Amino acid sequence: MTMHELTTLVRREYWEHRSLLWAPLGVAALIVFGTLFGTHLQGGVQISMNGSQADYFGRLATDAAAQQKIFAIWTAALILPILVAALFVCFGYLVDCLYAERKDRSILFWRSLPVSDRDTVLAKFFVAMVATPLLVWAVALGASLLTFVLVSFKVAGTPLAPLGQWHGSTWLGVQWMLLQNIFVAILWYAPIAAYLMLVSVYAKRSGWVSATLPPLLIVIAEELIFGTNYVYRFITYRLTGFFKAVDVGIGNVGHGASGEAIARSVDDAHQRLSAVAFLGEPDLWLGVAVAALLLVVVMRARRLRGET
Amino acid sequence: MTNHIIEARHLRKSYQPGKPVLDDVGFTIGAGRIVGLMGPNGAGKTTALKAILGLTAFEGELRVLGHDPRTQRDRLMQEICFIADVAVLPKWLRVAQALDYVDGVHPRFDRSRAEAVLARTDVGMRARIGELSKGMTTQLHLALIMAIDAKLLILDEPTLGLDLLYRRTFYDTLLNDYFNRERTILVTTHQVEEIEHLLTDVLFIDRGRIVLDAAVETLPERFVQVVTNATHASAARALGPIDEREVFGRIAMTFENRRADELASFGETRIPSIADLFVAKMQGARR
Repeated sequence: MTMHELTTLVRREYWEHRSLLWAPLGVAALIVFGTLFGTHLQGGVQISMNGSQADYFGRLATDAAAQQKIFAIWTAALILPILVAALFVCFGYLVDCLYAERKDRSILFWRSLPVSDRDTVLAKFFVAMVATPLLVWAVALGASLLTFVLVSFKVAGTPLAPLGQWHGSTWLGVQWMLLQNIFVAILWYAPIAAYLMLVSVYAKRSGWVSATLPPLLIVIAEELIFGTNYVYRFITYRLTGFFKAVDVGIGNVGHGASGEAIARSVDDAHQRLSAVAFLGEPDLWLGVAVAALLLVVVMRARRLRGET
Repeated sequence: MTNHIIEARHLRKSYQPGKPVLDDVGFTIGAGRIVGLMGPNGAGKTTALKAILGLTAFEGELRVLGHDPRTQRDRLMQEICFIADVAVLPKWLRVAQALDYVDGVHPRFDRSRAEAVLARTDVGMRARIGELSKGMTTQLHLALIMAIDAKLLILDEPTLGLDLLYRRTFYDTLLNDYFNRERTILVTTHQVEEIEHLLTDVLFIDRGRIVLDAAVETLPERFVQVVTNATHASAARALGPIDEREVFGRIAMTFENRRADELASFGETRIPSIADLFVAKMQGARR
């Protein structure tokens, strides 16, 4: 497959499934507009802090390293809602991508052109697992810049002013780390994507039902027959594993917490931003192998399903 | 061997055991021919085409442009022009996108040529295929075909469901602007009259078997029709017509491998049309 062919195949997918573009852009727009039209638009941000928070922001004003940490956390966290939205539309895309062409019989048109089943399947996988995640990354990058500008205007002259401090190299570092995280997420979710494509290539009716019903039935059957929930745990582990690895929550810092406790919690969250350590997880690579295997099955299946 | 565009031997295929769709089919197609693959519905036309295009599994030997469609389908598809019938063009695709796509994946596609063909029509580049009328979709189909410079063009019932005007335009444009000595066209249809004037060769297929494989120029030597009456009918019948039909009280009999002068005494003789032969062969096979 040449670069030109790949570009053509990828563009074709976005022509058909425009939600792959609009969902990440839409969520990013919501974040930016939410910041712009947030409740404290007029006259900057109104602050009501208890003593310990005031204490924390007091330190923040003079502590550059702490500023960078909290800056890294909130600019990195922006990507999460965009990524979640993209995961949902990718799920829908994958269960539909090899089913819709059979439903409207356009598979006969696609297969009348010199594009192999292998290239078709790979291009569709690429769209869901590479092109769209990279789009998410780029959109989040843009959103973090716009949001930062808005935030810095709003916090100016308030006790939260340290949040409006720009840290260029930290920002670059965060973007690079997010790109790595995206890469880890691609590897982690590859077997799910391949499974959804397998469902899509065999589905007789709606892909959504075909993709979710069998695992659901297995989970219920296991619960009823053996009273165990291994399959359920396995599925949720696969679905949420990545987000557990990159946990940006600042933890539960209660109202009475000291400035010290808040700072510790921020440090913890900052430690957990990168998912690169997850690459050492054998389960991740096992999943990649399963994905490769499933994709080969999907390629052969499309060939057979294309025959009438 | 090598100047054959398609070479098929002992092709067999059945979807259900004991009911072959292709039953020992063999034929060759040379360069620069326009071949009509004709047969009634369910005769095996489409299956034969699918075999040629590597879209279905089969037994037997088949070379298309020197390639085995089963194992070299991807190479093969780059060298032939086959745009599946217009009914399967995806409705969401815009005309400009269709051109972009084919341009992106087909090495022999000339986009400017397709645009030139479309410029002469009412087909808008921004329109979605689902919004086009049937006639416009055909024009788009034709524009795509005309822009692919391939040695072999395969058309599967290209004018199905179109009115006479579009059917005529389709074949006229194809013949005048596309066909030349270097190109070979294989077309399937069950509307025989439609294409008989443009064919150089005919392949009749019935219930999975080839029942006639002949160059059009050899048909007059091989087939003759006599229109006779009841008085001469039994004498004529003794010579073994392959088909017999009653038309307005007269009897038309079609003979194979009989000279016209042998039959002249029974009535007026003439060269049967391809449509006549088609009916004769299909009915003959059923008797």
